[in-house]
Amino acid sequence: MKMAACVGTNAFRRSPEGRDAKERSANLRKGKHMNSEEKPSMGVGRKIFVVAASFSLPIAVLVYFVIVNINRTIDFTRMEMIGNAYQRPLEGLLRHIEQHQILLHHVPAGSDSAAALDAEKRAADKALDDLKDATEKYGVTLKFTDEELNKRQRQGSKYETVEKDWRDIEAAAGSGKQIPAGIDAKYGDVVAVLRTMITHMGDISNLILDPELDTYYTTSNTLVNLPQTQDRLAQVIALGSAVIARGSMTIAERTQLAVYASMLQADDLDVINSNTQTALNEDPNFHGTSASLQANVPPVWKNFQAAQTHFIELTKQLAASSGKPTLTVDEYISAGVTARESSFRFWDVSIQELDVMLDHGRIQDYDTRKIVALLLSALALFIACILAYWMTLSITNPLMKLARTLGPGAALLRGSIEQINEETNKGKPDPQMTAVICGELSAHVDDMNRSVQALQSIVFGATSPTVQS
Amino acid sequence: MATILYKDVVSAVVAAVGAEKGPGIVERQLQSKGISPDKFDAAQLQDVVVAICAAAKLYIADPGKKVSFEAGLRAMAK
Repeated sequence: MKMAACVGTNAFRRSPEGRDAKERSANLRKGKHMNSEEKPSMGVGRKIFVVAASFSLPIAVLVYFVIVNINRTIDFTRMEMIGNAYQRPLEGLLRHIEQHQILLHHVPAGSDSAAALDAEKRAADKALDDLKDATEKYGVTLKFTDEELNKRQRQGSKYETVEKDWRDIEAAAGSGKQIPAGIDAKYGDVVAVLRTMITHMGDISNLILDPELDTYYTTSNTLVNLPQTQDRLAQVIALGSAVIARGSMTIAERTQLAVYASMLQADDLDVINSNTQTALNEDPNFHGTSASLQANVPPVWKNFQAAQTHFIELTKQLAASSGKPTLTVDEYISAGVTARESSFRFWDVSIQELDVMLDHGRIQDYDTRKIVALLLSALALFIACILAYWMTLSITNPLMKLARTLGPGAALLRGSIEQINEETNKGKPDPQMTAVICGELSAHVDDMNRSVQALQSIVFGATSPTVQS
Repeated sequence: MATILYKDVVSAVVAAVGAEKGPGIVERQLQSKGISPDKFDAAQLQDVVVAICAAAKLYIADPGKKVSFEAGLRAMAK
């Protein structure tokens, strides 16, 4: 009958390929494409694990970016420290080359000019050697190569230029008995190169971009303001001592001295004071208070302020003096050199404290943050795994129970049918056997109901209404 | 407290049909005869052994296993 019913339908007349395709399509809709006996599918527990793992992927990516960001900050800070290491010999050269120039023009009364000049020459040579070492170590990192310098229109701002210029000055100055013509221009050239090298190092080492207030203001002093005032002090000493030695000054010189005094006050001392105070004030707000900064900076800052103020006053007096200056050259140079030396002492302490803030403050803090981020992420992942495992068990345990019930249930149904057939064939059913079959089927119905309820609570939640079977 | 014989019978049925259904089969047949597990003995087992075998065999598909199971249970009743 069924075959007859099928005869004449479009489906029956289709080609075998078409019929197969239709069957495959129907099976797909019914979910029969996966035969569990042929292809064992992934269990519910594993599927839940895969879902949990897929959610942990974005967390892993986020942790990766957090660590990358922290490492970037640490690398940024390490570059700043490299910059500081490179600036040390540059400052040494700035200090001793300009001091050499001052001594070449005037040796204080009672001093041995040759010995004093030689001492400064040796100090400058030592700084030059240190610059050579620093260039070998950090030159490429800080882009002191011809190609990189050319890109930035800073050609010649490199160790070789400084060395050549300084050797020329040494050769020209000799023992210092005579001042060669044009030597001041050579000093000016080498100092200009040194200042450009400091600027270039500040740009490349990130020091100019320092992101935290305490180190920013300290860097501002060490990178910009102190080198500026050190150079300016040398220029003011040179002009002032020349005027005093001559015993008269032009209007232009008087004006220049007055301008220098104002700049030393407003552009240098006031700015450095403000920077230092802000650095000390803000220090506790960034990676905790630096005890050494708070202890070491104020004394040298105080000396610096006193020496600068005294020299500025002398320069103002000199500029205000009508006609013949009342100061002696020795007094003026001594005050100027003291002011310069105090600025270098202040610079030495500041750069040392800057390194402490960068290394023991910022880098250590970010290293700790990195470890904390990794540990917390691992802990969160561990807790998530435990939760996922617990949730998996809460789903798979009732399902396994259901599966254990359904398996024997199928055997029971088959066995019951066989037994009923057997009893029917006998013609006279055994009442005890019938009672046993009914009892087992009834018990199985109860088991099935309980399993269905458990399944409903898994699918719909514990408070959902029971689906009627 | 259930007797040792009761536990042995349950174990034998569990071995044949599984832990999910085994204890229930024995319990139901004993209840139908009004037998308590606390006082279950060999004589009472003889009364229910046919019913227990009949019920348990409903869950066993393998004919050989049916025979060996029944023989084992009947031996316990002697």
